[in-house]
Amino acid sequence: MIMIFSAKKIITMDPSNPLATHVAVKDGKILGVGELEDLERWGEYELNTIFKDKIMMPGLVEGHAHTMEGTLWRHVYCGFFDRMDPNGKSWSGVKNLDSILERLRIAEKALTDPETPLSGWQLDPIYMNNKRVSRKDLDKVSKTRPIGVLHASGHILNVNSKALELGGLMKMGVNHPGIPLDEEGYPTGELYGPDAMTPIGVHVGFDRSLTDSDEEGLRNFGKLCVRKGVTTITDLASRLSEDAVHSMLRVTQEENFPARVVPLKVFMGASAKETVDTVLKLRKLSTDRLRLGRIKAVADGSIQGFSARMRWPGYHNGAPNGLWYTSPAQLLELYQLALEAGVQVHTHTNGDEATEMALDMLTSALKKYSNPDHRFTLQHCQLADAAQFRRMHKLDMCVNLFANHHFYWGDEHFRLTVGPDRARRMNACRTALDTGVPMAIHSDAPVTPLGPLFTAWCAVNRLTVSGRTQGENEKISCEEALKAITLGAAYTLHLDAEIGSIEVGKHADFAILEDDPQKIGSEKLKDIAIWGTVQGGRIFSQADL
Amino acid sequence: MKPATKLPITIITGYLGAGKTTLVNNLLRNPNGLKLAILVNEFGALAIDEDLIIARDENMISIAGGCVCCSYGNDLMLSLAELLKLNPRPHHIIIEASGVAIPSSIANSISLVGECYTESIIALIDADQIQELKSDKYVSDTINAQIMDADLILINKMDLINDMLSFKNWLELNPPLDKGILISEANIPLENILGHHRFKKITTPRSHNDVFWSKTYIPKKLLDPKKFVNHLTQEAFKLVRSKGYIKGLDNNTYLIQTVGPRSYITEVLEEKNIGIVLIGSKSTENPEIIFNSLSEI
Repeated sequence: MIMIFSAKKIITMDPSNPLATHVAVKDGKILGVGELEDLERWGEYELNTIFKDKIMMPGLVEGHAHTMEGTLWRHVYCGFFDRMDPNGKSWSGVKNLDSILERLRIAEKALTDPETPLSGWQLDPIYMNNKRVSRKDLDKVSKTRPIGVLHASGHILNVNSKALELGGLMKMGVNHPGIPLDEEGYPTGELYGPDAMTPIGVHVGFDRSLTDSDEEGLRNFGKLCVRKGVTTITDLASRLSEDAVHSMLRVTQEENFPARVVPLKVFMGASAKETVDTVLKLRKLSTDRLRLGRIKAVADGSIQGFSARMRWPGYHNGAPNGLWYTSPAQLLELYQLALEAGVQVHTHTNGDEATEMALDMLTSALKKYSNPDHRFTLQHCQLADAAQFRRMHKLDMCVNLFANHHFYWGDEHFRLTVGPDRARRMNACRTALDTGVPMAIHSDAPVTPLGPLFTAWCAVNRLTVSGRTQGENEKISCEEALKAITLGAAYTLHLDAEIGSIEVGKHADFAILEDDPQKIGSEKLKDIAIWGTVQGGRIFSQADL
Repeated sequence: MKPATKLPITIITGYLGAGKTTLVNNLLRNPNGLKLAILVNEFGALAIDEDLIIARDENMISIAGGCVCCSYGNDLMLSLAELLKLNPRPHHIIIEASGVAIPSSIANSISLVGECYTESIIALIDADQIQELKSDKYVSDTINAQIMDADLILINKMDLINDMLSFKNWLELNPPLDKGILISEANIPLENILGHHRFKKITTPRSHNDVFWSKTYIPKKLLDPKKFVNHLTQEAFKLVRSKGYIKGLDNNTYLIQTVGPRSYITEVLEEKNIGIVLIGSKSTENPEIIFNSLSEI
């Protein structure tokens, strides 16, 4: 059966046919795009006019997110900014410590079992004059129930005295760089880094499954996608155990699961050969809505955590250079084996030295195994300079830049981590496009909220939280940003032949918008209201989730 | 003082190709009665020699003699906690760190686990690669941090060095590598690098006489154990290992152990024969000089 949707305007992202009023869908795919009379020729059809007042775009593609966003909502939201949960409830941002404690108190009262831990997430003291939260603050919520609140970065955990006690650390004389002590000699309750967090995390509801989603979490993640107009999304670093893969296969095949999920197997804890072999096996299990067969490597840490690897002159505040998470030798081996096997690798590089290292390793690997159209992609790649973008172009690499980061932490980068010059050129979208490097932009949800239109707004306006324009010359146009969140991201996943534009033969994946992104004005891109999505021809309305 | 119930941990650090896996396999082949638990970053294709394996599942390999090997992937702390739940408990844990891990960070984390302690950090160096790595654009700082963190440096693959004289001169110019013990094929007896109260005694196998010397010192008087080990571990001696019993000033018996610069003193209740075995390498101070200075304490 052919269904023809009418819309107020269809932005196709197909340069040969950029605008249309109707799209015909059959078997979940696009049969034709244009005026109604062009499409009627295909034969009997049903005309669906529910979108006649809406704007239709290709379904948005988020090229760097984590499905754990779906599970984090089980914890109390303690973020500074307003944020929508999978059920559509908008949680107001908490602006000071008292409001955080009040919100935790309310959640605490709702818990009946006295031993159930109370946990929160997305705390960011940067926006509260960097006032640190202590165990004594959280003790005001409860002294008998373990409490833990995870920071937005995911790298710091605040706990109360009870949690420290359960983890055996409520004592004097703890000597660990990740565990600061108060004037009495006890831990303050702030725990930095996984090694300090893990032993206590298990007592406050954050355990090893933090980066893995479960079935309910994945369903919730799907709901968020609909609310943000997303029809294809990545899970950028998954351990992909056998159980996890099977549960992902089950959930994504459910009749009402609204997104195509692309999980990447993280290169950690297994040799390069084993990782490539595993991914080759996983690839065979792929379905339309679960695309397996790619690898994510992590070269370094984070810039605001001072664990990113930096070239000279290093960190602006004089912090020592960061850490390698994967050695150059291992990355080279992975690149060689992956090129040989035809497996794509995405590599997290935050600092510019990490980017340089990845470029060097791929240069060497390509001398051994050429693989046309490999589309190896640098993820984040926040501090790359123009010369590095030129090398990416020469090596046929893609880049996925962290545009949202610029908004949320740009002021910190300017003031503290890298200083003005490098802060202004961070996430250099203009340079990437001008150099001819295929580019996407991302949210890294849950690190920042999922929402490609917001991400597009970030790349177009380059505003920071404080309202400064940072890097005027790295701005991109509205059209370029819309391409980055559709075809651009699809290209980095080798999916541009299937999704990313509204063209004959592609999947019928649409974002349904209340406002026209081509008319609303670039400063309002983030305010565009979203009705829902069509994914594989199936209609998902936010209102009915 | 370390209570005997705390589990000792040895951290083995070193870049890819240094021979960490070979060393671990050598230790597993001759565990000298110890139930070793090995934590490796990953189960590579050749992590554990096949003939040693008696059973395996996704996360653990069981090895002849009651030893086990676990991979910790990206969560060392959790794997360590699981290892401590094993019954019977292992006698000694060896962590094979990843090639770019900073061993003192691992030791810091171990300090948070009440049931175990870091006995020593051993850096394994690939003699054939080290000159290149020390000036590598990307990893030289990481390699230097690993070397500086180490209590004991083993310079492996010496059989690949052709110009021995110039290599040794280079080591002299690159302290603390000059204190490294020169070995090949990661071949070094377990009792020379692990300190452990379960060893009946420590000996130097005949085949290693060209690398090590070993001598027993018998104190003639009561000693302050702390002062004694401070003297024993002084840098100038470059002792590799020592172990034995002394009588303290309170006339109680104390077990003394040292591995490189680290030392452990444990009071023991039963009577023991007094005497300390010292093991040194060729680079260690002459045993006569050490003995003379000991009797002057």
